[in-house]
Amino acid sequence: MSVAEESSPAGAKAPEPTAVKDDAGLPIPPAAEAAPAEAAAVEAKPAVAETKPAEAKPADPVDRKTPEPASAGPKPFQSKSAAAGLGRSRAIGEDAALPAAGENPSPLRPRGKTVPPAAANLIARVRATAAPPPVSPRQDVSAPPAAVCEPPAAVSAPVTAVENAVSGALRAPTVIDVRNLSLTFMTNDGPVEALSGIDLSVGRGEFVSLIGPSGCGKTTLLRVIADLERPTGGSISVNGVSPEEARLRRGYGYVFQAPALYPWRTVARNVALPLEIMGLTRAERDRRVAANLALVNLAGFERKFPWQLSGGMQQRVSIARALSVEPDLLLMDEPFGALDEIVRDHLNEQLLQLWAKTEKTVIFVTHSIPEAVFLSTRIVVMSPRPGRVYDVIQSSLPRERTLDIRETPEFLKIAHRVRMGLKAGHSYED
Amino acid sequence: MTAAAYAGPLPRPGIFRRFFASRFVAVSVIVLATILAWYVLAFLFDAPFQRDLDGRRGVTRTPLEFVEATFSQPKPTVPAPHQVAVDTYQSVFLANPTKPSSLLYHAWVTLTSTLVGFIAGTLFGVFLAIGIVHARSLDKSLMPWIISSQTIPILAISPMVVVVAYNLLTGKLGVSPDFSRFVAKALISTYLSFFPVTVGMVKGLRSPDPIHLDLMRTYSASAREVLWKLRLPASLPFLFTSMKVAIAASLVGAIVAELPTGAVAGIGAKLLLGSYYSQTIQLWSALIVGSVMAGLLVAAVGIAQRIVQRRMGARL
Repeated sequence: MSVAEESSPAGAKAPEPTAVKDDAGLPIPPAAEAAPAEAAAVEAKPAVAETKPAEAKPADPVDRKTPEPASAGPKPFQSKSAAAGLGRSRAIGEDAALPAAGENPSPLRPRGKTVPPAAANLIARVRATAAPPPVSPRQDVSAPPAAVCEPPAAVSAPVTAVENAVSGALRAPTVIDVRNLSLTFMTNDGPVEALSGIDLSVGRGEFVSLIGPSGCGKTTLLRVIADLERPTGGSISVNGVSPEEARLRRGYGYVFQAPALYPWRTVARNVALPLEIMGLTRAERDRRVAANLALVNLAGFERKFPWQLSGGMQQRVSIARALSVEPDLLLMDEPFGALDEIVRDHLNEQLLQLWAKTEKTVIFVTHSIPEAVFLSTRIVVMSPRPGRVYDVIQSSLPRERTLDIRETPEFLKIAHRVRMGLKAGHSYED
Repeated sequence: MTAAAYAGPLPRPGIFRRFFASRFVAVSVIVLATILAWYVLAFLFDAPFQRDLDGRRGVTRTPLEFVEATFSQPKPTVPAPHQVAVDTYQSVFLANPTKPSSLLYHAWVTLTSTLVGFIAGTLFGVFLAIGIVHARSLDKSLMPWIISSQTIPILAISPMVVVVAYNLLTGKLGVSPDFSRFVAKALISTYLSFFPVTVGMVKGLRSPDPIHLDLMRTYSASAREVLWKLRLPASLPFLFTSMKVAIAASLVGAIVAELPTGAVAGIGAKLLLGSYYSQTIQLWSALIVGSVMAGLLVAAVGIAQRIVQRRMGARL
C-alpha cells in the first residue's frame, strides 16, 4: 500500500513536457482539423460575447424547471469540421456570455488549445509511472473511442448543421431524454414517490450533475437511466432507444458509489471484466486495459489486488473499468462520495481532464455543491419528497477549469444559486 | 499501514512466561491430561476383572504388579493408551500394507470410497445449489426434501441402500461383489456429503453484493456469465467450509456403509470384527486410524482452500 501511495505523487513531481505534445494530441484524432476552426472561434468570440450579457442574465430564471434552456450545452472539445466549429462559437456566445467573459478573455483561450496544461500534467504523470510500454498502448487508445463515437457522430453531424442553420439556440444531439418521469416504490408502509414529474434532456458532450439531499431520488434517476430501476410513469430514452435497449447495447459505463471491484481479480482483470463479457479478443482486452489504466494514472498496478490499493486508487480502477467499455455515456453515482476531500479534489481534476480528452457525456450524481459546480456544464438541483427537479443551472464557467476556479466570484455565484435552490426545495429542513 | 501507528515492540516477556503461554504447552497439557484420565479410566474398568482373575487363580501380587497386569490384559474392557499405541504402531508401520493385517490396507479401502463419494456429493451439492439459486420453483420444491433427507438416521437408511445397490449390481448387472460394495459405500458417502455443500453453496452463490450484481447487469451479462464470473468465485469460501464438513461426513458414511455389507475390508469392517471378537485393542487402533484419516482429509481440504484463496488474492 505504501508503494502505491507514494508512487503517484512521486510521478506528479516529474513532468515531462516534451512527451506531452504528441501524447495529448493522439487521443483526439481530429485535433489537426480542428485547429483552424478554433482560431475562427476565438476571433468570432469577443464580438458575440459583448453583445450577449444582458440577454443571458434574465434568461436564467426561465431555466427553472425547464430542461431546455436556450444554450448550447455540449460545446465539443474538438470540433469535427469548420461548420460545426462555427455553430459552436455562436452557441458559446449565448451561454458563456457573462460579465466575466467580457473582462477576462481567458475562458476562451483554453478551448482553442488541444492540450490543457492540467491534462498535460496528468499525461506526464501517467508517463512517469509507466515506463516505456504505455507509449504504444496509448497510441492505440485513440483509435477505438473515435471508432465507437463514429456512428453517432456521423448521424448527428447533419442534424446539428440543420439545427444550427434553423436556429442557433439548439444544442447538440440529445443523449438522454426524460419526460414527465415518475417512479413509485411499493413498500410495506405504502407507496413512496421516489421520482415525480422529472423532465430532463442531456445533450452529447455535456457534463450534468444531479445534486440534492439524500432521498431526493438522484441516484434513482441515474439507475432508471441505467435500466437498474424501471420507472412507473413517463418516458425516457437513452441514445434514442429505451434504457433497456441501451443497456443491452452496452451504451453506457456506470461508476458506482463504491469501487465494486471483484476482490479475487487483479486490477487488470477487474478492468477486463466487462471486456470478457463483451467477448473481445485477448489482444484487444489487453490493449484496452493498458490504455484505460494509463488514463486514470494507474499503469504499473495491473497485477495488484484491490485490497492492496488505497480507496482513491480503487475508485480510479472502477472508472477505468467503466471507460474500458468505451461508452459515449458515463453515469457516475457519487463516485468520490466516500473519499476524503484531498483525494476528491485530485480526482475531480483528473475527471475533468478525462472528460475533456474523451468527449464523453457524463451524468454525475453528487451531494457536494463545490463538486457539482466545479465539474458540471449544467447542474440539476433536485429536492426530496417527492423527488423532483427544482432548478437547472447552466454553468457559465469555462469548459477547462483548475481547482483555482473555485475561488472566483463566478464560481461562488453558481454555488450560491445551487444552495438557494436546495434551500428553497426544503432540502435543509428536518 | 499498522506499522506507522505502532509505537514499537512491547518489552519481550521472559522465557518462562513465553514457554507457559505457548501453544505447544497448552496442547501438551491437554493431551497429557487426557492420557492420564484414560489410564485412570482403564484401571477402573479393568481392575475388577484382574482382581477376579487373580482371586480365582490364587495369585497374589504387589500393587505395582497388579497395575502392570491390569494394563496388559489381551482383551481389556478399556485398553490402556500404551496398548493401543503399540498395536497401532504395529498394524500401521510394521504390517505389510497389502495384507488385511495392516490398518493401512483397511484405511485405503475406506479412503477410496470416501473420496469418490465426497467428490460425487460435492458435485451433486453444487449442481443442486446452482439450480436452487437460479430457479425459484426449485428453491421452493427441493429445499424441504433436501433438509428432510438429513433427518433420516443414516444407520436406518444405509442398510437399505447398501443391500439394494449391492443386489442390483451383483445380481442384475453382474458386477463383482467388491466393486458393488465400493459403489454402495460411495453412495452413502454421497448421500451424507451433498447436504452441507448444497446448503453452503446456496448461501455462497447468493453472497455477492447487490452492487456487484448491478455491475453485471450494466454489462448486460447473461446468467451463465454472472455465475462463472461472479457467483462461483464469490461462493468459494463457502464451498471450502462446507467441503470440510462434507469430507468428514463422507468418511463416516463410508465407515457406516461397511457395517451391513458383510465387508471384510475397511475401517468399518475392522471395527465390526473387533467388536464381534472382543478385540478391543484392535477396535481402538482402528478408531485412532479412522480419526487421523478424518483429520488429514479435513486438513487437505484446508490446504486446498489456502492455495486457491491465495491465487485469488486473499490476504492470508
